[in-house]
Amino acid sequence: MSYNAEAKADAVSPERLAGRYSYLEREGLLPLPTRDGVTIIVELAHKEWAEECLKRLLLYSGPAVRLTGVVMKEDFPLEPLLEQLSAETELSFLPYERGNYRTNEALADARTSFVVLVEDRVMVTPGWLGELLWPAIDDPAAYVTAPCSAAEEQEGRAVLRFGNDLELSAYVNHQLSRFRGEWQEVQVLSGPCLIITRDILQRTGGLDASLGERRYIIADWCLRARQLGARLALSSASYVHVLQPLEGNTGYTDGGEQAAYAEAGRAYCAKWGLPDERLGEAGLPVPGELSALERQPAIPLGRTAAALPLVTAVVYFEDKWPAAASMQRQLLLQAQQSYGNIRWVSVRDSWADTSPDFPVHEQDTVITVQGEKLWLHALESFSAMYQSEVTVYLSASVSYDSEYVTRIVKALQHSTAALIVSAAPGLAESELPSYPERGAAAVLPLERTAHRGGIMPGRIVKRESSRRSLLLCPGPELAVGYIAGGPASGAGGSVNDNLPSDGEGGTRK
Amino acid sequence: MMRSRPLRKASGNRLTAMMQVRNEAGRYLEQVLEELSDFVDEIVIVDDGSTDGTARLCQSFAKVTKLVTLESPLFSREWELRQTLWELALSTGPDWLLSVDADEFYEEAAKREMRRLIDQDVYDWVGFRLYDFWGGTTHYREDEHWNIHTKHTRTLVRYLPDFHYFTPRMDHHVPRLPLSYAVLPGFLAELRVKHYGWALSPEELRRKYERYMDLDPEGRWGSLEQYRSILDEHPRLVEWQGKGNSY
Amino acid sequence: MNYIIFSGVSWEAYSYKRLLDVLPEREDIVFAGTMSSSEQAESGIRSLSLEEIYRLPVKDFTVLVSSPYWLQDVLALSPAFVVALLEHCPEGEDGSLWDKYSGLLAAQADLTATASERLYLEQLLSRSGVVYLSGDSPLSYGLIRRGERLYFLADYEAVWKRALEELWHPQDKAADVEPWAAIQLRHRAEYYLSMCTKLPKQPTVHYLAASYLYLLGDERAAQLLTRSFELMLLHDYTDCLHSHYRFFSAMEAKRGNLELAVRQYEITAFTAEERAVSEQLQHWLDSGRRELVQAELYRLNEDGAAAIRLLEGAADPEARSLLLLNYTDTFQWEKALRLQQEPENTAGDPAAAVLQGSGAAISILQQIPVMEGTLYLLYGKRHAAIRSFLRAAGADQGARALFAEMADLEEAVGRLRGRMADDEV
Repeated sequence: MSYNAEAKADAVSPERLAGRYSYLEREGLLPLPTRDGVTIIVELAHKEWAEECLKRLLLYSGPAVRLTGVVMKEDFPLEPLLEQLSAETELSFLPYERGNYRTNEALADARTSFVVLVEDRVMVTPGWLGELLWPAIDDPAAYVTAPCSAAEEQEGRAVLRFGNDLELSAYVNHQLSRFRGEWQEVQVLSGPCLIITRDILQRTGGLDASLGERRYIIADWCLRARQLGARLALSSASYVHVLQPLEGNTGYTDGGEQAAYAEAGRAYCAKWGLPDERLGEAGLPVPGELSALERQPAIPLGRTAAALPLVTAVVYFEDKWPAAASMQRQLLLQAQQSYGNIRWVSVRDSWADTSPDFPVHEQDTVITVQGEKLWLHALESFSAMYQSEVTVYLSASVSYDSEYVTRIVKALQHSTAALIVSAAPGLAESELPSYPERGAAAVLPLERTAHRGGIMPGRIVKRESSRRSLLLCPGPELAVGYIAGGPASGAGGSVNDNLPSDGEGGTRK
Repeated sequence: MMRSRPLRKASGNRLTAMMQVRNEAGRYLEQVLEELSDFVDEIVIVDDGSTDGTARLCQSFAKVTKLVTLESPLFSREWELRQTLWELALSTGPDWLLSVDADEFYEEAAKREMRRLIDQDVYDWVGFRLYDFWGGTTHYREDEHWNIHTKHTRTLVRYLPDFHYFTPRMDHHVPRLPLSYAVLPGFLAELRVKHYGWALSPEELRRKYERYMDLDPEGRWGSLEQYRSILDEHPRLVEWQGKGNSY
Repeated sequence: MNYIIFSGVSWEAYSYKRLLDVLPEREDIVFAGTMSSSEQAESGIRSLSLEEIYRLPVKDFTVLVSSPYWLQDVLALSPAFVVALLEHCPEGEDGSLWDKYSGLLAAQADLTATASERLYLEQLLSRSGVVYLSGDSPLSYGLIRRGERLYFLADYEAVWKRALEELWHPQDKAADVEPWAAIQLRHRAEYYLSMCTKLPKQPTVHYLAASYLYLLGDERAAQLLTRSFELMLLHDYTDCLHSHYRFFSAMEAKRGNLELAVRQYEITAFTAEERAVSEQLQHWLDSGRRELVQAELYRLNEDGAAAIRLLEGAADPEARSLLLLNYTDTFQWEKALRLQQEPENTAGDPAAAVLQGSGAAISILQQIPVMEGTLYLLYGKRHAAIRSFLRAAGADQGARALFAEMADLEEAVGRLRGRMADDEV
């Protein structure tokens, strides 16, 4: 038999191929067009819808899909979700952290070639994801894809009413069968569901949270991606149903929300050189000639060093310490703490304490005052003098475990308390008050107290009778929270054993 | 405690006439002002940029308590003119207002009835029958385009502070009094007002016709047919009959 | 939560089936009447006869009533909660009877709902806790899962769900959440505001926008009312002094500009009664009794709900007679009777007799036994009802009308129950 090399390699017609492909798709026999799976990052902000959204994503996205739920609001209840979905292995959560836009962290952690960013008010249907991955494969230059929805821009906006999920699925399937494979390039996307390739994610970087409102944050990211040569694709065949909160900002609600939204719009326009008036038009204003504009700075993915709040650790020396010993003690304290962003300050009374000054690092400081009264006053007025997120008081005579500062910072980030007291080591968590209270405590041990930046903690007094002589009388309006102390062994006890047992300065146990 | 005055007085109402004028010297203005002085308490006038002795004429009447002379005429901005006059009238704190044109005469019976019409608290405006006299002061015109007397024209109104007074902003044929009165109860009096605006010689009529055609050549504000009817050679005229032994 | 449905029509014709689908915490749900077995299977609802319903543990049920002639049964059952679904009088029913008993039903209900915007507005002016069962937004505002099915909620369905949930889980007042009633008012206001932009010369959309803004206490209400009034004038619809102009007095009353509000009312006061009211307002204003003035201005503008809110907290002794009037107007007759029976009130305030507003010549004192009798009738105490009606009538003529109404009511109830039994499949 002669072999005709010129003959067409494949005698099957395109129509037949299409028919076979459609069959495979309908029967759910096709895998997703990605070898290493898909990471879906879900922004959790709507407690009534989150569970349903997550369940649908888990059920309908296909195999090899990992989900990360990022809590976007302080008051979002994560516990019920954790309980309901505890069995899901491919699901993890990033709890809320004040001042930290954790979506960027989640994006940084994504290892798969496709990443989906979706809001928890989006309801997907079986087989929704496949179609949305194709544009990036059909055309290597297209990296970002979105489905139609009620919250997408311009051509992507489809406002449709559905009574239930059956009606929704019927519509979605109908659209898919009519328009499968069709997508169009658009100028901007800002909607609740975005499919990104990891490649462009790495190059464009993270989301600019400073823009405040999600619509502008996403649009800004898409424009930055376009500046780097990416193309935005709208999949006309795809539709996801997005829910609208009843209290939504419809331009009428309480002034605060409206004002914030307007401010975000202005920030977006300012960033992209657009006149504010264009915000009044229908549709998001988009710069005409993107290439002509200067490239926007990239926003780093993940947690940045700046995300670690600055802590000022105020070290005070209660007893008379000989010079060398106090220097050593200071160094030891500094070295011990694992937390990565501390400014060390020591406050000394030169009348009581004759050791020379010794700042250790550039940002560290020594404050020397004369006389006990001034010394106490300096300790009290710390936040007024030095701005930081957290102020922690450390007594040189106490030993602290290495996670002490980290624990305090975490506690303040997750609590509404203004003051945090670390319980004596060994005290059980259950014995601590569970909620921050105001006015309940008359005095707190200063060496185990920390407070939020920008407030005056109260009066600091010296009590002669007790060994740990400095006490904080908290301001009655400040809420005090308690956390468990470190491990009971060794820590918290007196460290006088370490003092050289010479006559000067040291105190005996 | 002091009770504030009732909104509608059934007695002791002051009657204030309001008028806008433009170059009326030598026409009917003097006579109108004389007659008004007999039956109203006060007259306020807006002089829309007259260039003849109109202003001085107005000032010569004691009952003219307010006269505002506009330097440049607003005649093509009728709405503003009406507003100016209205606000001027309100500034006198009036009880009742009578809107009069410089060529309108109330028949004797109307003048006699005036007090009784306003000293009541049942209705807030009065409509009169206006007659367009034609070519002279003995006959009025009555035909297809000239029949204003078949309806009532509201010219006498009670001023109610705090009411919402609305006059639509138009360029021509702006109602002389705010439309708002239409929702308040009114009285349609079978009393007549003689309008001498068309009691002119044929040449004067022609000139008037030409002025209308200038201002409104496409008939946007008025009917072209009506404008043309001004030139009718033989309009249908009816002789005026006085009431009793008055005219 | 379990539900009982008291419909005025057969299951086939029942128009709230979709709302039943999205009922929150839906467990056992019963239809009073007959349903075929396939209907029951399909809907997940079972049908019971009235006798069977009386044997249910009714304290665990919320009742959804869409005919006022069920009121006697609802009162007899005394369920956990009553939801009134108000409708316009259907063909073949006596309009005034229907409207009166619908009013009484709404007053007894814990929650009132209606798909008619006119009824919605009327009810908003009579009480709180009113849901509008329609909306123009095409978006979905919530979801509810029932077994296999996930329902997407239209705006009013999300409100319906929330309103019901709040019946059995009352909102903590301190919670910083916008009340659902305000959300609906806002949606309505926004809808009409957008219509005003599309139809700038249409007086009705401006009027409706003004009405909702007024209910929201929004400053823009007066502007929109002004525009509506002007448009009415331009269209030559001159019969709007009371419907449009008088409304300003309610708006100014709400803002606390009582002097202006009273003058505005006075402009609209022509009949002898209205003039008397006007004088009374002025008198109260002069003596500094501002609460009475404000409440009365609300009532004169048919906003009984606002009047009641104000008067219930008022210290002024005369507030009670006004409150009595308002309770009567809004069909809250039990409250009216209780108020009347309080010792300070038995004398009966002559002022109350004067303040009638829109035409009714019967004084409140004469109304009391009629209200009493009607309530007795609704509570199944027929003899007591007859005694009260006799007391009310005095002369023969009055009695005949009252007994005729009693007969009409009993007949309407009888027809309803008969229909229930007749729908055999």
